[in-house]
Amino acid sequence: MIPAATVLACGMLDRGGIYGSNGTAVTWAELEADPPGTGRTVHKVSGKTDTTFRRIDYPSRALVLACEAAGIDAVLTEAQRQQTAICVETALGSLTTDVDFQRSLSEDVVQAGIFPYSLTSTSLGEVALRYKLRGPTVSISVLDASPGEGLREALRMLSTGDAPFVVTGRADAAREPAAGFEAAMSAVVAVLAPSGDGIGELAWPSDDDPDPFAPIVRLCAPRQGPARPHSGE
Amino acid sequence: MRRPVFVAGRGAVTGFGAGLDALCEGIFSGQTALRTRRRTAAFRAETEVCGEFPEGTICNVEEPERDLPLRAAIMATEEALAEAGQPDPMTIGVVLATTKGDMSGICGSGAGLGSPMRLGVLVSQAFGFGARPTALSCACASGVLGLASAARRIASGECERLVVVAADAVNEFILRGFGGLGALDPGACRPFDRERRGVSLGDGAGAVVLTAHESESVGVRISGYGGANDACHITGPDYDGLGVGLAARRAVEHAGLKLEDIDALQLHATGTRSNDSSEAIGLGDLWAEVADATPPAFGSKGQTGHTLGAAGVIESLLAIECLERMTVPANLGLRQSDCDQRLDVRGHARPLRRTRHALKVASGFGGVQGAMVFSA
Repeated sequence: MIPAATVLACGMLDRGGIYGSNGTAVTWAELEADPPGTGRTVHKVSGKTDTTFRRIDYPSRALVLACEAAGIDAVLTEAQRQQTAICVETALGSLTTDVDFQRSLSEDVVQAGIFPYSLTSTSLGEVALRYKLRGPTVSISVLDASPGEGLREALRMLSTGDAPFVVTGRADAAREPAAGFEAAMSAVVAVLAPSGDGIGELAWPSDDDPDPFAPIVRLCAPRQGPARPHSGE
Repeated sequence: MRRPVFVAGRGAVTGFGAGLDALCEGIFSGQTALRTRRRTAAFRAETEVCGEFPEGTICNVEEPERDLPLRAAIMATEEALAEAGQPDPMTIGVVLATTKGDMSGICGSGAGLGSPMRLGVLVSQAFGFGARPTALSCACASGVLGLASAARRIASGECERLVVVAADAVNEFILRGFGGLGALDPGACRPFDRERRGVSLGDGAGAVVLTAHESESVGVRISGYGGANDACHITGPDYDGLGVGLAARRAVEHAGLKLEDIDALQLHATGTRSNDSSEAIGLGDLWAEVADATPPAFGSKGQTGHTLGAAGVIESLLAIECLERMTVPANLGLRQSDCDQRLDVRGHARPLRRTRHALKVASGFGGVQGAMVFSA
């Protein structure tokens, strides 16, 4: 039996806006941008300057903004981030990038710059390098009808001691319908620790749970006050 | 209490053909599976060399993007299950690891949209496995991280047996993607050689049956694993090799070993200037704490080509084989290294003095790093 984990922080993005436990609650209309944001969106959300944000793919943007709303760098110290794992699931993966890159093969100029984003771990790398998360990094693939394996793997990492903290969640972002899939725009992340003070708990999802991330989404409601570093207990 | 995790069965399909024996015989006798491209010859690319499956290895190929990864995965799994004594499929689950998997719906009119999980479900259905399949894609570290994920589940008591299957096949998408990044050697790749110019790609599938039961073991166990992220760059490595060093250190510590206990290193060794250089620095720095040089090290992509997500499993099989043969094979194509000389990598095969523990490391886009310790 794998025990529940403590949620230290969480954030999410959907077609409505960006919300998180650091108090972020802003609509796309207020941001004057379409999801998942433009080059100025990170600054509007967190005050940070992110010079490469406009060049990264949609799933990466969605994940980064959800992480900003979670306030990862406020709840984990630099030393804790050195050991923090990332374990995020996706059903769509890099589908939009795949289609774009394949299309470019029949054109004169291949879009070589987007090829790295045809690998789903690249989005996790964008998160890792922004927050200096140097723990194990795992991109889990799921089918839309059977989600939750990313959360299970994160809980396993914590319970086995393979990582003291894990950023887990789910990201599915596709600009337009492609290859039978509808357009999608959602990302949800949670920073988990095995125990200690937090904003909530996450239990092992059952096999037939249609929405294992629903508890995180509920925790993403606007909260008062700044996030504080985790004690590490 | 962490349960031990044993290797019970192994299988592979590579440019050397079907079967682990073909792979090991080719690698340890210094042959190469890198040949002039045939199946992918119609696609313009910055190289004419590739480690494709030999013609006839995999039958009934109507659409390579669809059929090759799945059929290769199934063949490798069949071989691994045979060595494992055909355990009851209802007691097994599959962990599928791939970089791009089935691309038939992207490159053609098939149903495959690159979803690793879909490939995992198809493999699971082919064998009637009883446990829920899982899948991951961690670029070129997929295989090693898939083994780590499976080992974690067995060690924690969640599962008794899992088969880790990793598969990828070269197609136009992949060839031109790496080509567009300037990462392909026009000829056969030469990892660590001063004249190296990039990777050679290859087809591949590898499978490993893992079990909690020593009685089912082939005499090797996974004693430790570790992961890390460079947190530095998306496509390039950390030039100081901190990520690969960190993953290796974590795996050795997870195994409860010291660096000096490691007898052989199986490297990522792609043949790109930056990968090989940073890998040599990172591992050289790590072992500098205890020795003048690393243990004997080797890479095999100069013989199989870079089989992407499959590489981590295929090369783990070679790490195990090097313990069994008491030999570190040649790093084919290496004549004169310009990398950190503390990395003990040579262009010829060498006998091993001790064969207790071998360490496998792997890296991927997104700064992903994985490492795995196999112990005899």
